[in-house]
Amino acid sequence: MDDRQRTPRKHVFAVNSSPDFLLIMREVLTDEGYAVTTSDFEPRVFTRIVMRHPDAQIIDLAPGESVGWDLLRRLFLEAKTTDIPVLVTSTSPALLEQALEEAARYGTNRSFLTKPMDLDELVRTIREMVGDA
Amino acid sequence: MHADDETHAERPLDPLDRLRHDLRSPLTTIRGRAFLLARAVHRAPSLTEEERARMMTGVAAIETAVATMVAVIEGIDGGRATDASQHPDRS
Repeated sequence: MDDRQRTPRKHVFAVNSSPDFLLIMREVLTDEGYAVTTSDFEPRVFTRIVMRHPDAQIIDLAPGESVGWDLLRRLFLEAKTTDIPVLVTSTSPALLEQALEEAARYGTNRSFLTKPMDLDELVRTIREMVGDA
Repeated sequence: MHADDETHAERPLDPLDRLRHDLRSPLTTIRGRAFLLARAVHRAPSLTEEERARMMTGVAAIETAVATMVAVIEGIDGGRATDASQHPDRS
């Protein structure tokens, strides 16, 4: 029995509007030993995040869409979620720069990856965020 | 949050932003699937070393093609983009 079987699996919650991206996240991170929840930006997703309180949160920012920003702001500002490490992904380097500026003012343990990202880099980033590195 | 927070999504979307997003999104799927394929090839016990090498060459070609496309998309950015994907920052 290895360590992953002895200890509770750490939980990663990924929110994205792309089913393809969510499937890949689920496959990659499950294979790495994490429990994975995926969701689109449905209205109750913030409540579900609060209830699950994941060890790491992945959120996507898409150009011209407000749902990602709305969720990110709530996670940064609400006391119940401000301690959750957040990895922000986007196809837009400019959006990530804006998110980085905001994140610098609200909490710590925020990371940023531009898509299409190197998934080895994503796995390393998640490990660092949850303290597995 | 700051007073200008509302501007992120409400600012008119540059058609080039939409184009970059529409091009990068499928590349994310392609690169992700190539990653998973490479992982499966490495682990497949039934493959010979020759078969494994041939498949990994194919995966490497996909990675190269994706990198080429990303470079083209960055060219569309007109030099504004600084791809942070290889440099995750932490606040």
